[in-house]
Order: sequence, then C-alpha cells, then structure tokens
Amino acid sequence: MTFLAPRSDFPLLADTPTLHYLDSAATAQKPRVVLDALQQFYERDNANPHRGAYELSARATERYHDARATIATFIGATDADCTLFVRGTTEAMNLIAYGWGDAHIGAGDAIVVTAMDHHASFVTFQQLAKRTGAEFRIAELTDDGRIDMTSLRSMLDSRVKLISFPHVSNALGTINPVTEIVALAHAVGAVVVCDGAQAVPHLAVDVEALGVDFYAFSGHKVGGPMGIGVLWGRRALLESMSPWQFGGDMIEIVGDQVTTFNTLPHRFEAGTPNAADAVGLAVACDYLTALGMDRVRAHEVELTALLLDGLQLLDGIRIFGPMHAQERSGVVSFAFEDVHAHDLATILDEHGVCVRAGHHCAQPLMRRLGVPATARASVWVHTTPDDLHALMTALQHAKSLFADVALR
Amino acid sequence: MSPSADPTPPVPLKAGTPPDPRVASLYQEIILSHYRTPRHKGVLSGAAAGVEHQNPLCGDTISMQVQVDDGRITDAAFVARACSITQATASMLLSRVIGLSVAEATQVVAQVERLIEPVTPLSEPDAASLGDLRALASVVRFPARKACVRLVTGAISDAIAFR
Repeated sequence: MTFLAPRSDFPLLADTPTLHYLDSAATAQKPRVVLDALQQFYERDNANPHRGAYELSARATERYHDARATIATFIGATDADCTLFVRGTTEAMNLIAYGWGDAHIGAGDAIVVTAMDHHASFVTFQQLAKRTGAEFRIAELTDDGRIDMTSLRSMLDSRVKLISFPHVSNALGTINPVTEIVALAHAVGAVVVCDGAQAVPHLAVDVEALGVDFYAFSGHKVGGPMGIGVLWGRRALLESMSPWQFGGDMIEIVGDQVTTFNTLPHRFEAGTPNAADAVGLAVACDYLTALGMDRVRAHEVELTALLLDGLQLLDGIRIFGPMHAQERSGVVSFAFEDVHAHDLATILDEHGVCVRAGHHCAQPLMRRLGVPATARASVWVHTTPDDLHALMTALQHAKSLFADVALR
Repeated sequence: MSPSADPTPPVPLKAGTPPDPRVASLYQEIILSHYRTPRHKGVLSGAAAGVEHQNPLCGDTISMQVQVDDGRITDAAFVARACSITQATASMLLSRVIGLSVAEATQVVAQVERLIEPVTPLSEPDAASLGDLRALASVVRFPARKACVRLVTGAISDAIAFR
C-alpha cells in the first residue's frame, strides 16, 4: 500500500507539486478538513466556552466537549474527563513534573528516563530531579537503537517513583515494548509516563491497553493545529494532583483567602480554553480514523522498508535504529561519513526535499551515537515512493559534491 | 479521500544520478577547497587564549585560539565539529586575519557579517579585499545557513576580546 492519502487532501502540498515533504516527524502538513474546521469554528461557533448563558457560548462549549470525546476515543480512553488539553507534549511533561512530581518525589527517590527521551521529557524530569534532590537515572540503548532492557531492569528498584520513555523514538524510529516496560515499572511501584508524540500519528494507540499512567502527544504532529496537545492520565492520579496553573475556569468557589478547585478536566485547564484548536485536532483524528490507522501503519511500513533498502545502497551511510520496518516507525535517521547533516539538508532543500537535520531535541542520544547531528527523513499518510526517489536523487547529488571529503 | 489500491509493487529506490547545478552557488569550489584542506586547523601550543562556541540549534561546535602580540594577530587556529560552511569560513577567515592588527581583524569580521546580511551592502573595494571570504556572499540565499558563518565570526570576536 504505497499510496494512501491523496496529495490534494493537503492544501500546502497541493499548491507545491514539486515539494517532497519528508519531515512529518517535526510537524505534519494539515488536511484541508482541519483547516476548514478551524475556519468554521471562528465563523460560526466562536464564543468563550463555559462563560456566556447565550446559545452561541453554549455551542462553543459543546464543540469543545465533543472534541475532547472524539480525541479520547481516538487514543482508547474511555474516561474523556481524564483527557486534558495542553499546548503540546512539552507542556504535558511539565504538568506531570509540577503537578505530580513535586508533591510525590523527594530526596532519596529516583527518576528513570531513557537515552532516547526527547528533551521535552529528558530535561523536564532532569530538572524535577534537581529540584527535589532525587537521583536521575538514564537507561542506556543497544547498538541497534532499542532500550537496553538489562540496563533498564538494573535501574528499577523501590526508590524509583517515576519512569519516562517514548512510545516511539523521534530520532531512531524505534517502537518500544510499552507493556513490558509498564510491567517492570509497576512491579516496583513507579508511575509510568509515556511520550506518544511520535506514535499517535502513526499507530493505533490504546492508552488503557498499554497500561501506562500518563500518555502525552502533540496535536500538530497528528495533522491538527500547532498549540494544542493532550495529556491523558489515570483518574486517581489526576484527582490526587494539585493544579499547577491557576486562574479562570479551573476554580469552584473563590473565597477571599481560600479557593476550591473545579473537577476534571477543568482543574488542569486554567484560563480560556483553546477550543478552536481542540476542534481542529478532533477533525484530524477523524481524518486518520477514516483512513484507518491499520492502513496508515501498513502504508508506512511499506514505505519505510523501501527507504531502508534504498539508503543502504549509498556508500558510507550510517542508518540508526532497528533495520526492520516492522519494528520501527517511518522515521529514519542517517549520517554520512563525508557529508555533514546540514550540508545534506541544504542540498536536499534545493531538490525540493524537506528533511530535518540536527540533534532532534535529543542531545543525550546524539552523544551516544557519536555524531553531532543526523539527517532524518520521515513518512506519513501522503508520502509516496516518488518522494523517496527524489530523496535518493538528492542524496546522490550531495555525495558527488562532497566526494573525497573526509569529515574530520 | 478513499485510498486507492496499488497491486503493483513499488519500484526499488536507486542510487546514482547526475549532479544538480542549483546548489553550486553555495558550494563553490573555493568553499569546498577550504573544507577539504582547511588552513589553520589545530591547536596552538603556548598560552594563546581560546574560546569554545556552540550553535545550540544544531550542536555544532568550534574552538578558536588567537595569539596577539603588540596588538597584532600573529597566529590563530581552530578545531570544529561542524558543517562545511562553518569549517570553510574558519579556514578562510583565519587565513585572512593572521598578520592584521586587532582593529583591522575586527573590521574584516564585521565585513563578513555584512556580506551575509547585506542591510548596507559592502563597497566593491571592501568586498574585493575579503579575498576567498567573498564566496560567502552566496550564503545570503540560504538563510538557514547564516548561523553556520556566525558561529565562526562570533567565536573569533570572542577570542580576540578574550585574549
């Protein structure tokens, strides 16, 4: 299944026929239906949710609530009130750190992350450890870019209060064994935080079946708007947490000296909610549901296999992460001995091929790979073999330009 | 939006296509030459002041040493873990400033910065005086790469100020 979603579904791609967008892992292009939904919300339903007694406000409130329900269903959450809107995965991680971590973690405790955690979780929990005096432990990786389960097991003891790892690595593409890690973590009583930013756009995700305690993702990588994301958490955990931001909407009764707080999900959504973007994200989820997440996955596996096979033909290439398409997402990072990732990205750009070059917000990982930066191509629903052929042509050009250069 | 079935298997990707001339303007031979055989790459022995700069966006690093005697740059060296533009810039810039007074070198650095951000374009004689560095004018067309040049100009300015 090498063709799935037509290019015409995406206005930006439809308007630039020569563009080969292979950077969906950074942010996804937006389906027309999402852009239309945003426009329609502002043209027909715009009012401040939860505020006015007039019908328009009630309608905005209803659209916002419906969006939450749609998104909850999309990730397998039966309790929509435990599906909180945040700005994105980064804010979700900070909500966990300040809302749960500060109250439950102290000196003598330990936090475990992995060497493939994105800075969003790595830095957030590193700083939580620093604030609370907890030990910060980093589970190492195997040579083929998986979490080293021996390393991880050795770090899990009764001192560990929180463990964080990505469902899918943003730099390696590795799909991690979530349920296995959850079982190990729960055996020592640790709370499990799973970064789903690179999983939700590509795999059918069921947060309850995964067994995690917190699961976060960013809307813009799913084809939704920038500035909206989701944190799902277990009800008991969320209800035990203090709010981390205060203001309107999250209160129940405000006394002169004392305030009581609203119920879930509102106690964690201070201020005017980002209703329009929530509606846009729900439409993005509906778009993917209509394509079928199983078909999305099958499409990406096929293209990833094609890409891995093609890249291996190039001299001096190092491909990171598992080499079997079935064991990874459609994110493929690579580096050449003789062409720096930025030179590569510039030359590719001239060929209309967009890839990410850099450290992918994963500097601890780059250090372990022994490279300052990698180039990363990523596929999504609209990607075709033609996009990958264009990538290969551009890569070959870059290699010929830098022939007989040895990176020092 | 209905997905189309495609019964034919995809054509495998191939390596090997002719070069594309479009990027030639950035990767001119003079830049590639400095990248392939960088001048003044290494570490100065002795007590020359050194600085290390990093581009936080990409993680590239450069360390730079400048030896100043009686207000004149008598030697300089760099070590970089960086792209071709950064390495070539360092090679060309150090080749140009060694032997100059600190004031003259500071002016050359300012001219290179104006070359890639031509708010007030350099006069023809000034541009010509930059020699090989003039090739960096092509970076104007590649906004994402200006930081690669500035990594070097920032490091050498610091190294001179820090000496």
